Amino acid sequence: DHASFASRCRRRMLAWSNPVEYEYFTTVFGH
Amino acid sequence: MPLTAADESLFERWRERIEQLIRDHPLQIITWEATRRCNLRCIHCGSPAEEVDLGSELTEDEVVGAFEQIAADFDMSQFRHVNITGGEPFVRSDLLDILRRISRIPYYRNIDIQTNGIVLANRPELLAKLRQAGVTGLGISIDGLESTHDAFRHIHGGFRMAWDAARRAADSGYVVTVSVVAHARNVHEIQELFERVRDGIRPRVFRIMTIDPIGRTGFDSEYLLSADQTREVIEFLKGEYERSCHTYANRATTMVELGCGGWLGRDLEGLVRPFIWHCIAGINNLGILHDGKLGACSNIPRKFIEGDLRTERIKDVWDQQYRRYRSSDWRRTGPCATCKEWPYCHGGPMHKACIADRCLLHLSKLAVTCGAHDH
Repeated sequence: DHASFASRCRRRMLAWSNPVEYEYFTTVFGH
Repeated sequence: MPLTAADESLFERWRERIEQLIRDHPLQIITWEATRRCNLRCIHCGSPAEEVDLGSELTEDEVVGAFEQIAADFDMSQFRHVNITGGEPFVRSDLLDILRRISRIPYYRNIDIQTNGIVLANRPELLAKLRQAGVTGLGISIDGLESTHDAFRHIHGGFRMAWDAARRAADSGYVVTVSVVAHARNVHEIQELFERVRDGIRPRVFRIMTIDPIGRTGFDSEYLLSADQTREVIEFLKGEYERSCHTYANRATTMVELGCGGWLGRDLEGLVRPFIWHCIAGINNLGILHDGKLGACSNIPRKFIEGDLRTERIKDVWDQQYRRYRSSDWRRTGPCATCKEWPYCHGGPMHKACIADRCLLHLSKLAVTCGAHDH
């Protein structure tokens, strides 16, 4: 479910320790 | 998809971390405006040569000295990368010599250069030399399909050269960003351009910047986007991001992103680019301008210069100045005064700080469309 996946990625982005971090890609977008 | 209470809570915690980052302002990025000289005269340029004294450019020794001074004076434990912009950096005949010298300093291990690709296309052997000189990323501008790009940048064959430079760079293993300025005359081409770039160049990033009324682009420019066109750009990004973000952990895939146009509101942030946006100018990003003045990004108006490395210690300027970058209350005017998004965007990007209608959320009337925020 692409929309749900994108929303869950956003939650992981928001939870990342450095707010402008963009390990990051694997953790935020990895299955 | 509406925000849940959990999402709202995450945005609050994100905001707290942004505010902490602003208070700490650790040096993580140096943006060096290598020159204001350029081999093109693009319609949209935000840092045009005619605005400055080109004769005051830093010498090779001054540039290297600045990078050495920063490495000696700053806490470099969080430092990440050097971003080189222009003008067109490759018109500096001493660029390779400078790169070789600064990349010997251990902290400057990741260096990327923003270019129009013309010199790289005509001298492809430079790609190997740049790698040896420490360059890891290349950002190349492609502003539409062939005839659109060439008209926008006033150069016949410019599209072909930019394309060739980007493709060779990607094939050579560089982290490649293809940057597109979205404007009124190319907005209808963006979907096709994206598909061609994704399949033909395979860059890591396909970045769209919305055109701004700065530099050579006047407020009456026929190239400025209408509200509908701005929305069209954002809808393209949202759709493509949603379709493809499940592949982004694979560094061989192409990500889409909206560049530094501004905050899009909590409903859309994190759903149009692979990060939550905030302007980082003067916060973790220090700018060395072509003449040694200290600011941030080269498209930020020069009235926001904070110091001069020819007469001051860079660390002193970073520690004691940059108040206008880090305390944004002076920008809370007009529609920002009552906007509920202010605690998250702090007035948006510094390069648009002097523009009354600077808010992308407001310009695109997304707030009206989604009905979620008063603006």
